[in-house]
Amino acid sequence: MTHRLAILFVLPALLLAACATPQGAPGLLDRVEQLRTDRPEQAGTMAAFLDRTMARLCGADCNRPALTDARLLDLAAAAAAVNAYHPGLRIEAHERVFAALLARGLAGPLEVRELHRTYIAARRWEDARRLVGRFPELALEPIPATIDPGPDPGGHPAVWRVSQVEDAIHREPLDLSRGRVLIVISHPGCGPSRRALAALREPALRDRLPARTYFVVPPLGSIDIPRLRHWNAEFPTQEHRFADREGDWPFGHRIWDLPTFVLLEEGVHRATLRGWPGKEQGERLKALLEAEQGETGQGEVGRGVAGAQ
Amino acid sequence: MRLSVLLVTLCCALLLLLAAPVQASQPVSPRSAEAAAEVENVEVEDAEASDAATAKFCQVKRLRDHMDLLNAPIRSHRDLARHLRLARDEGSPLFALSNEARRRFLASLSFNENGLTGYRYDDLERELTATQAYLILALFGSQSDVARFPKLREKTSLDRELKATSKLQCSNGDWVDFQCVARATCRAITRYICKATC
Repeated sequence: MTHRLAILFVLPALLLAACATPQGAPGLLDRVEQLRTDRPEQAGTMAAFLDRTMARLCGADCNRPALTDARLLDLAAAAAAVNAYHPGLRIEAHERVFAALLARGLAGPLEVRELHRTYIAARRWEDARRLVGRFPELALEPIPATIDPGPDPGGHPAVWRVSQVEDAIHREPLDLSRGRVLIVISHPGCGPSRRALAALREPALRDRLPARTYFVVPPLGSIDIPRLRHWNAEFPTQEHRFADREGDWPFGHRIWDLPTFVLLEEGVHRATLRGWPGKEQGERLKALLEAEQGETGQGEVGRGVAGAQ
Repeated sequence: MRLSVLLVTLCCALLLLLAAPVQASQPVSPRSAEAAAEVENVEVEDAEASDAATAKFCQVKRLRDHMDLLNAPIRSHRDLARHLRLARDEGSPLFALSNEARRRFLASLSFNENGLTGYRYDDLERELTATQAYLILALFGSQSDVARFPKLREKTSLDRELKATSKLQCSNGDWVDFQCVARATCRAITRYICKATC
């Protein structure tokens, strides 16, 4: 009888306990990674997963005794990942978990940095600045002293320009609805981007770029102002600005690979090229620019690269 | 034995650092010619350094990184398979990882003709000391990456010294939290590093 009771109650309990530990089941962060689909619905799927998980594990308060420290840290990592893949998607969830980590004394440098990155990626400048002030010992990436939001973008995607003369960034809308526009998604710190940017400085490509060619950094959790400022001073014809909000960009969900080239005409998406495998990609881009030019009849050859709209 | 190899490597690096002026790389083989070409492609980053000494440091470090890559024992999946076959008898730094973490790490490795182009780093950070991670990454010529991973454990003074190098980071085109998904294409994926060689 005792043995039967043991089999009925103790073994299932042990099995449940094993499954509930982070070692016994895929971690929450792993689950988020498994939800990467490279399809437009990825954001919705990740948001729904995080919402369900928060409701199940936290309820009204993430600092519940039933939630182990390990699980709470895993939840924080999952919330950070969701907000890294889709900036601004679930900031409050990340904040709630972080508050619980703080209450338990579990918020280490990594957890603080991840919340900081969540704020920066979502362009929540003041929240990021507060975090910098609250944890001075961590030397978090500083936020520029002056944040100039500029005029209302009016439905256009917006970018932030880095001032060369003061500690400031200025937001400005990009009107992509007129003429021919080439968006170059790149980052001066990324090796493949740098190879592409070097090729774009060669006359064969440089002279074929539309007058309105914009170099845009994806909405990342770091704005890396010193690097951008330096690059922009060194290569003013390849002035990099960083994207404001991910959702404002109209041409597809997967444009943030580095590097990516998006060609638009009169606001209509014409083509996307990804990566810089070598000279052959330069030839593709060249052919694309020439073909598009023929179709539209807009003679832009030789106009060089515009630094500003 | 491994520790002494590591110390010798570090001493050589230090000597290289102190040797000035730095000579332009003279290709001695097709592989080093490729490395020289890569150096040219990323030369602009040196100018980011705030002073001449840092610029010089970064220049030397970048050259050393390229030489590490050229001399790496594992530069392809084929090299990796050979290493794993021999590892049963001769041992390997990879055994510092748990079985599951080692499986994930090995599955994440990507290569092209320049060698390693990317890998997943979170298991290294979770399970290893800085020295253990250094020894694993040295198999692929990417040992200088240890400076990018602040969570690596510190158990010895060597661990502390290796991690301290992170305070003097030089941009070499490697991009953290991106994965090399195709030739010269980095995509935002957490826990991966997209190498400049992608």
